[in-house]
Amino acid sequence: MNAPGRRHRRGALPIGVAGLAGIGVALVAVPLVAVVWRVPWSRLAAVLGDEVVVDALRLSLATSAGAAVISLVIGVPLALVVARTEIPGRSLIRAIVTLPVILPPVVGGAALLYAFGRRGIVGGPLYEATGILLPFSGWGVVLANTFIAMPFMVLTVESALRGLDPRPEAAARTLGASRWTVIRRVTLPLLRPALVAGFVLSWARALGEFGATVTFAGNLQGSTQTMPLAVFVALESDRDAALAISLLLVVLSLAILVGLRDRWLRSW
Amino acid sequence: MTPLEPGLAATFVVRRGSGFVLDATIEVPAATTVALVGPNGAGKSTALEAIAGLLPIDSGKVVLGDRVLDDPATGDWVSPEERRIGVLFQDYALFPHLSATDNVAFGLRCSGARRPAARKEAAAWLDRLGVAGVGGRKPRRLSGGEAQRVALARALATRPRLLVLDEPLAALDVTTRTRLRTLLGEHLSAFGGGRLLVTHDPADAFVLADRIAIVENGLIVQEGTVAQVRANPRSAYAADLVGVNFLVGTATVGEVAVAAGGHLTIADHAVSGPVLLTIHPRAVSLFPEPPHGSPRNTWQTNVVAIQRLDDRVRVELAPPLAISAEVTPGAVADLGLAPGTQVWAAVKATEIAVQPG
Repeated sequence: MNAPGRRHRRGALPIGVAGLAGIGVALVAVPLVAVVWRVPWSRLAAVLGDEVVVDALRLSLATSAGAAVISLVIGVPLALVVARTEIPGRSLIRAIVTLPVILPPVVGGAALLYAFGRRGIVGGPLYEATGILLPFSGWGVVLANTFIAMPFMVLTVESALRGLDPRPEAAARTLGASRWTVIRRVTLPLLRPALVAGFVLSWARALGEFGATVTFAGNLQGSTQTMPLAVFVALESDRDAALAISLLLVVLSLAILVGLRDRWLRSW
Repeated sequence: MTPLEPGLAATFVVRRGSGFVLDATIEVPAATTVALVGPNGAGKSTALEAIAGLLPIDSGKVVLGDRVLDDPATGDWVSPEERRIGVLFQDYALFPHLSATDNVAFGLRCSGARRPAARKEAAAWLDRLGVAGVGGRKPRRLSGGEAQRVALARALATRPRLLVLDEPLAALDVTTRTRLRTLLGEHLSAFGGGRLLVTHDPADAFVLADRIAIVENGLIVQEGTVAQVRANPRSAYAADLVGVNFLVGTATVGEVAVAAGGHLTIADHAVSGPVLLTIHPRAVSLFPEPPHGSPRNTWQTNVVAIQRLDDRVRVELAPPLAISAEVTPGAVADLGLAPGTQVWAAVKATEIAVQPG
């Protein structure tokens, strides 16, 4: 006989687990609520209409979208190479391209300077040959964003590739499809959920990029000052502006996350 | 009558990373169905991949008609998209993001057809295979039987010179399987080229194949017609595989009129019409006198042949119910069994597996 006791629903957890989970939620939610709480709602329109803010928003959207597109174009082939080929040093390649995920972004920015700066090993010859300077330019922001964001694309797509049923692709070969046609008409459509997820993740990561951007591209209003940088500057000068831009970033990030759900991630 | 397509002649060795070695000779003449049968892990899938060009061979030669597809010695290699070998994959491997029509049209598009023409021809193939109504559906909305025929249409639409089928019926439930097996047989006969049928189900080989090749541990242990293999199985697996008794007949309320002659009582009273009966030789008992007991089926017959297989003995019984019984060497001695001996055979009705056919 079972001893009488409280009936538990399936999946019921010890109270301690729920308590710790609650602390976890609070840790993230409370600061977000604080931002919303302190936002100067009456001045919001004026603050957001400020030239500094508009410039930062425009620059952030353009550079982060650019970084996401470049991550897609380069990151997907990279994921295919890492997941599908057996070239020597494959695991080393994988480690190198995913390093920026855990590398302090400021170190990434410094590394970019040594590579693409005016006296960098690539940037020096490039400047002498063409006069093009990447640091402290909009393209520098895109480069820094891509450096930080692309690993998210590579990791997302690579993991999807490993879970992909290989037989539809084999079937396509036997039906007369060249390797390129298989990628275009079978592999990429099957990867669609991962491509969308990777794109959104890398875009969101680029949108929030701070350390590598400020180190490599600087903080020039109108050309390299993205929204996170503008928040940082405004915290020193105009707290209301900092709060308003922060709110905007929270809303944008939330919109991206919500957009990522369901519809685009649905498989067949 | 479709003109005869050339046949497949493949003799090859494939080594896999795991240390598995497949060393096989597989010949599939035109207009012939060869069943490649073997237990899981025997090398059936590896053979399929090597023939289709999804896996290069390490030595030997794969030839289709007068065309060398793979020969490491000369460096000849034809990529899978140029082999013209149609493959029906296990679980069908349809493209989940394309409609049934576009699945079938895929190969036609690859060979240069424009979309409207390809779709039109794809629709005609779906119609030919009896699934005209499903063209607009995505694979996840197809039943197993529909998916199988869409996949077959997809393979046939590219007009291959050889058709390879990997466990074409394994994904179906039992009732559908028997019906679609018969249907598949008709479609295979209509296809003029060779057919290589990879299966682990002896019923597939019995119903669909002209010849049978048995693969075990990476080696073809036996090849021949089903009757040849049955007459002289060279391994316990082969004996089990071909030794299972299949009878076709017509059922009416618990009674089956066997096509070859004779009647058998079955336990299932619900089934009627054409059926495929399966009786394992272990379920057949032999007696020197007319037995009186629970078995519903008893009949007098003669021993035709006796085969010793390790510690078991196969006793072949005379027509019309030409089935085999499996007994111990002791029983053979006790009953004095030899070719020509008169015996009584008994089979319990509950030991006869009945599939509607």
